[in-house]
Amino acid sequence: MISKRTVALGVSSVVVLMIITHFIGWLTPVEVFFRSLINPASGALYRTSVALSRTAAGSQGADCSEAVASCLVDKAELIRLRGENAELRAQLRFLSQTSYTSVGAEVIGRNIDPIGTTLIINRGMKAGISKNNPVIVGDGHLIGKIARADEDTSIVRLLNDNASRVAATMQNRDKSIGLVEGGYGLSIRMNFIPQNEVVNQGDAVITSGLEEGIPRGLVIGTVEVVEKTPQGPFQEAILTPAIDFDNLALVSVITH
Amino acid sequence: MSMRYLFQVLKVVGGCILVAIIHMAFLYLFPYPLNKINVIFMFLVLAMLWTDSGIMVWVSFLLHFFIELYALTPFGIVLFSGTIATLMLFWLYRNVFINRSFVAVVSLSAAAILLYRLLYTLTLSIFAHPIIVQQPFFSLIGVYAWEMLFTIIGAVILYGITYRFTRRFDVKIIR
Repeated sequence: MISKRTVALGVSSVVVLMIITHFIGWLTPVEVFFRSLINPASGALYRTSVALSRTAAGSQGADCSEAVASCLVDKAELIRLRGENAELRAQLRFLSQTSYTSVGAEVIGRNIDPIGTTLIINRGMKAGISKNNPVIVGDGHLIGKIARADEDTSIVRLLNDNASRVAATMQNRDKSIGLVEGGYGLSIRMNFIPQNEVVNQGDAVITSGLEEGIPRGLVIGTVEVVEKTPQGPFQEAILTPAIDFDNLALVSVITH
Repeated sequence: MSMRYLFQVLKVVGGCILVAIIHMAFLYLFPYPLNKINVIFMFLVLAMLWTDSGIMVWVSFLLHFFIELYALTPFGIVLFSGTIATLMLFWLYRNVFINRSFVAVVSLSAAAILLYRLLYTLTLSIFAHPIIVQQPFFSLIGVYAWEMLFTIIGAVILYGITYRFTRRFDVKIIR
């Protein structure tokens, strides 16, 4: 009869061994193999979730007869393809005007962790992606940074994630500099704006270029509300992001 | 004999991949807070009752390895928490919640999420990972509470279906 302590030690040893082999790199082929099996399903599920949310937004009150239901499916697919086409054109237009090296990627999933607002994309270190690379969509709209880069997939931490921090500047008279932080997957706010600087609703916020690896000029959002405390040295601005983070399908990662 | 064993292994691995995909399906397709359901532990609790075997600890190891491939946390946190929580759950099943009943399903599901999230939070706190450190305590408890609630509901529904349509959990037959 094997004691509980022996069993616990045995199981813990196997887990620790697995972790060590991962960090040495011996587990990489196994990880790549299993991701290649799961990624297609994850991508299909994610695209379905995006299509469902787009269809629901565009067809409220529609009749639910069989023919109309079939048309809705085709309409959802058409909307998805049009959206992807427009997105790719916008990204191509932006990147052709700059000297950035970038990698295009498809979003294949959302956060697996219970806390955290992240996306999973189907490109990783093999494509030249590394941690903290900025991720953009459209005409240079920043959506987040690479939080983890594996061999063939990466995880993007979105701007509205609680742990997201990006150095930014405002396009106001004072060219205010501050830090854009995420709030529980719901909001984005710019902090540490000096109290004496004038911030107005509608002022655009872009990346400042003061952070390593993040070029200047990527669009973050616009000021929605300004919060001031009379005694404090800084004021805060709540931003409206330029992009809807819930329906992202194609992104570009700036690698250099 | 070895071919038969190989098929068994492939069946288990294939089954684990399917459960991981179903877990992702709930995450992507359902709205908050329904998408907080932990399909993996829901499956593990029912499989533990069905098979009455400690092999579920290794199935949990495999399942959490698949989830680890897509987790933002450092490699090993989800794997360690999930596997050890399942081991403790098995001991609870064998020594405390020893009968097969709806009460046992509810208790085991609740214990599973409690043990898993306790280990998960502790290990992340040890490494001072921002995903935990920058999260308010009550917000974290709220997320875990939703996960526990929907996992229990899901497990009870699945147990009910299994109880209704199979003889495995029929007390008259077990006696």
